[in-house]
Amino acid sequence: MQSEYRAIVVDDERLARQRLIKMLNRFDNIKVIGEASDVTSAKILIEKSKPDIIFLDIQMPRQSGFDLLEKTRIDGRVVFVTAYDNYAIRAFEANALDYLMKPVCAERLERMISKLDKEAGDDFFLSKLSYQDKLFVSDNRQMRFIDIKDITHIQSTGNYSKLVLNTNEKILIYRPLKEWEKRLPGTKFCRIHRTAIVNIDYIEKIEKWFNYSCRIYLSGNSNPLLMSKSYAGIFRERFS
Amino acid sequence: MRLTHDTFYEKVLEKKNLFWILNISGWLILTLLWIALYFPDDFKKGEYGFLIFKYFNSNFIIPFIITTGVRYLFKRVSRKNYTLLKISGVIIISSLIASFLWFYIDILSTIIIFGDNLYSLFSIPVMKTVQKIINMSVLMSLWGVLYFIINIFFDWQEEKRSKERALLLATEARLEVLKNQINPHFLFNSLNTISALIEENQTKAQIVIDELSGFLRYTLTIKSSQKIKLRDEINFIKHYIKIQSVRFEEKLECIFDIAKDTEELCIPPAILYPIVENAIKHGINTSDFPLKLYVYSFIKKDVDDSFILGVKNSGLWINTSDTGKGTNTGINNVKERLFCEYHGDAGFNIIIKPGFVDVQISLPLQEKNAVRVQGNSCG
Repeated sequence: MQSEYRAIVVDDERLARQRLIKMLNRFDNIKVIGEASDVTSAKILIEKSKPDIIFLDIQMPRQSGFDLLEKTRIDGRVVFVTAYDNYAIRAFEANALDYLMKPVCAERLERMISKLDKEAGDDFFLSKLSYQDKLFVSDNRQMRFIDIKDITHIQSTGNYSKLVLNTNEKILIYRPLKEWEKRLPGTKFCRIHRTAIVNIDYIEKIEKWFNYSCRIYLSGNSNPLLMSKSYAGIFRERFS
Repeated sequence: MRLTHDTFYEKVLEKKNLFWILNISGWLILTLLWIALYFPDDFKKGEYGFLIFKYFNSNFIIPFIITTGVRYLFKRVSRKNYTLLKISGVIIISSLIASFLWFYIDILSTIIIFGDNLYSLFSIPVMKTVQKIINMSVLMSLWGVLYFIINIFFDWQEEKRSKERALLLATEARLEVLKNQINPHFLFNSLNTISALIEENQTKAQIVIDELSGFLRYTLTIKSSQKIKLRDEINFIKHYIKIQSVRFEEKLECIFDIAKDTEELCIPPAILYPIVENAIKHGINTSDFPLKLYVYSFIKKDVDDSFILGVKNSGLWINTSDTGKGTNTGINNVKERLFCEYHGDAGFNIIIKPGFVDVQISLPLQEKNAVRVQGNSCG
């Protein structure tokens, strides 16, 4: 038997909500349990009813859909809804997130709902990111987008990788380092060690160290990273 | 090909033709001047026809040929990064050489053509030779100075014209971009609204479609170079407001207060629309609901008569360049277009008060006269 999903719709326009709810009601496995017209009431609704799917409009007065993601702990799946926003759409595509475009077309909605059983962002690690892209991260507390260009370096700790941002914020993601190496743009990101990738834009200086290895100092970070002998060779080849 | 009056003047004023016309007429006038001054005295010495020819030969034909040669020399001197010193040097040296040539060719040609004795070449006193060559080189220097002044003037004009053209193209292009930037988000949201209304309220759906058609028709027909009547712009804005009111429902209220005597005035197309759009975009984020808009116009009787267009909204002013969410393209574009169109005569004011933001454009009134002359159109 197909599992039933409890959904809510967040959109500031009543008519837009009404239209989407009407469309969703045609699906047997979707049950719309609530709607919200702004971020504040959506936050309350989500915390109270814990929906499985949230249809989230991005452009809303005062606070956007992205603000909701940052403020609220969401366990369900988010489907972004937008009328037209090239940057957002690029971000959804780069991160293999679910999104719908207004006016929502029935066929597209059906396709989206039919793959609900699959994990969101499953094909995530297949797509390559560009330096201008946004990366969708969700740790235990929140979901949000970060700018690729804000990542100063990534360090691996076992099966996890630790993303360090230029704000010194650290984000732990359950993904191995070699997947990042494949996805991030090679013109800006370089593997310097078995356990580290750096963004060359943040390199302040490189110091010679023992046994042909190097020490890399990043701006805003007093602890140097070690570049091993073999990666130093690759690094030199690529950037000189 | 027959030339009309206008194209004739254009042809004359073309740089290439102008050189020949000025060079020929300049020397000709000088020759006639010489004849007028010295002919009565010289007439006693010799034959009438011989003297006329001699005058034309030495004051017109020879200097004309020499200066044409000098022009070829000057053309090789780049005017791109000239200095005053460099040009003066070129003028002085070339005019010295030219006047030597002028002096001796004059004597030699007289000998050859008129069979004078070679002896006469040496009979001229040294002082007189020096005197004459100095006079000639002063004349040649003047010629050189004139040549450079005219050419630099042409260069300057050319540069100015190309700059103006570039600005015009840029403005037009930016408007094009702006047009495309405005529409998509609004367009798709409107379609979404229509789609929702089709089931709920078909009459209302029809109204939105009509308004959207009016809106799109206007955006497709306006050209940045043509002015339009304020009434047309207001109608355009009304289409937009009606669609937005359906979308935002009770969250948006708009009042139009357009003075009757301003309706026929001419304005650059889509100059007020970006302000209305901006007022809704930021007002809806900062105002209490409903967001109140007040679109108005009136004639301001003042020292210099102008008329005011304005949009007041109940929100707060957001300086988008401060929030880092990109520059305020719409507003900046309005300012730039006002400057291109009216230079210093148009004004742009943002009045920020607690509880409302008022954005005002003031335009010169004389546009009204232009309408009367041309009847219906705005030129």
